[in-house]
Amino acid sequence: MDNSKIRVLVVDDEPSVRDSLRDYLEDFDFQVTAVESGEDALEILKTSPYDVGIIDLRLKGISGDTLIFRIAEMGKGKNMSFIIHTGSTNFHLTQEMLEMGIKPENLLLKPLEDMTILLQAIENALTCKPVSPLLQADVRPS
Amino acid sequence: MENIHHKTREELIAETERLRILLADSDLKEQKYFMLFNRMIDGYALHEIICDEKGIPSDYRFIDINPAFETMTGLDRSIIGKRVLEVLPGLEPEWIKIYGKVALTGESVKFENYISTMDKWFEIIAFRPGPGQFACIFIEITERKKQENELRRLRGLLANIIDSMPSVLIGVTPEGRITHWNEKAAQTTGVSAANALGRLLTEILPHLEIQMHHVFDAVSRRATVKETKTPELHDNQIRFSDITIYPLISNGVEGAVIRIDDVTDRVYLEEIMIQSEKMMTVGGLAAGMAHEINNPLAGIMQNIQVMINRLRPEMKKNRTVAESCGASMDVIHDYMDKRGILTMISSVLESGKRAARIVQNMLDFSRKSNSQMAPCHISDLLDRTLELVSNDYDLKLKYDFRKIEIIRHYDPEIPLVPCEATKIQQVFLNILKNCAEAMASQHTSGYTPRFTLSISREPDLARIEIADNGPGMDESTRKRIFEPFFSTKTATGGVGLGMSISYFIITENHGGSLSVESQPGYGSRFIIHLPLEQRGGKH
Repeated sequence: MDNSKIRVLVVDDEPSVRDSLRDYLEDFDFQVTAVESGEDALEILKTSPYDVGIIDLRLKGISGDTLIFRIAEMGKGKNMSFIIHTGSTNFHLTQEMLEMGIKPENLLLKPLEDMTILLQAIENALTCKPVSPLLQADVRPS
Repeated sequence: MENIHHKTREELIAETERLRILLADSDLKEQKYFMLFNRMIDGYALHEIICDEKGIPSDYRFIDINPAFETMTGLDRSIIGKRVLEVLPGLEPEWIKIYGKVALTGESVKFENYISTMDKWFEIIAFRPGPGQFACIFIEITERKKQENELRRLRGLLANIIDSMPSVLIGVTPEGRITHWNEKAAQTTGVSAANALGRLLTEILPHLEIQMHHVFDAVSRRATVKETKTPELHDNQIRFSDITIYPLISNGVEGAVIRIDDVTDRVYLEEIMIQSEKMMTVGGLAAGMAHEINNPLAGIMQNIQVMINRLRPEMKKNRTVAESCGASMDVIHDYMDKRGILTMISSVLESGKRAARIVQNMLDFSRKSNSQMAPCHISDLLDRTLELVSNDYDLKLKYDFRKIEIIRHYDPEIPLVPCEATKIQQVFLNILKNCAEAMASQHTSGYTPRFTLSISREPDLARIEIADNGPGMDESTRKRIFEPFFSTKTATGGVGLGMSISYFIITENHGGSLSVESQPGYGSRFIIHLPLEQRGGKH
């Protein structure tokens, strides 16, 4: 997989976490954009497409899960995979999220003791194809 | 009819005797006889006995009856001259036998009889007024009988109610003499009611001495006195009682009822509830805190990992940037290494990991785990944990795990056990460390600390035993070892969560059991039972 072709959108309101993700992924040649809110993410998605979203759940404005559904509603979700990166250990994937193709292995709990997990998760997220009618599953060019 | 009920036995006998004399006196004027006869409120009947050829009474004939008899029995004077078996063909032969004896021997009889056809109770006095004759006086006692029965029933009911009470109920006089002693009191004290009644309460229950002033108090103030959760030492165990004293003031008789309820179980249950509430509070706090702590931890740990990456000489990007700064990555790395910075960075990451695990442990305690159950080799798991613990050398407690002798009794036939490996490992770890610390506190010369580990199969269960030869535990420690926040490790400041978390993991998460056998001087033996099949779809 050529990482430099993969566009990653990081959404986290904690600057140090946001930066750590961006820096780490950039070191592995991903194209990374990091924003601090769901609102910013939606704005940027209007103009630029992304392959993977790494989304924090508790955000200051709209929450991470709401963001994912908004992206889906925008019709931008069909080409995008999601990784949830949260500190809320009591979070469980909802049925809707599972239907959107967000698998349990795409749920990463903070702090990441070993960030190579993140690389693995991106690969997983890209290879798993959304099956949700909401997303109208399409076949990603491999 | 009413005054009959108050007739004493003596009066009745006197009356009967009077009648007998009157009847015997043949000189008595007819009129006088009839007056008495007719005015009698009691039923009266005179009979003549009829015997068969063998001289055995077989029937009797009515000679005379008075109006009261007519009223009572519903029979009228037409029966006079008739035989009883003519009038009452269904009469039991027993009657003829009884009356026959009276008529023949002259011995009076007195008995109570229920006549079902009339639904009435009678007291019957039969005597012999003359040879071959017998007279009966019928006194209706239905009402008295009813009252007696009712009284008996009420007494029985009351006794039953008092005896069926789960409380100890003791009636006492103001002086403290026992007037009532229910079944529960007998059970609890081992003293029967017969042995207790009339004695001083303090003779039987000396610890109630202090309650006696409450008895006086209750009686004099005519108010209930209640004392809750009174502790009392019972076979070296503290039992708690609620003691309530009710004053009894009726018909001028003073006294009190003492009610004692053993509330030990409730008190302990309350304590457990307080404990579990405490744990829930901790759990709730932990869940809230976890998010707050995990985020900054992510900031620390994830940036450290980026730093580690950016110090790698083999990474092309690092080399490019280093060169643009006029230094080589090898030089930078060399410097970092020599100044110990790389080690420092690693230790920051390690500290972060530890903090993350503490948060995780707190959370584990507050919620049911949703991680996966998988079939495990329990013996491997135990050995791996042992390995983990053996690297642990506690400076403060000065125990060296490598000095501990280890004996294994593993059943090779033990099947795979479905469990959460990391959780079970945590339990093993807690137990092993606790035992190791206990053994480290033993300073007898020539003492070799020793673990005996055994794994065996019981039907549907795997049994894992971890035994040490340390100092053991006294009963109070043993009973409380699985309680949250119970810690004997005052020196090291243990929080006392390890064993209770272990208990929780085994019982709640795995549906197994965890117990401990121990006595001072004989080491401790922890016994874990894990079901070989997990129920409830926890796969």
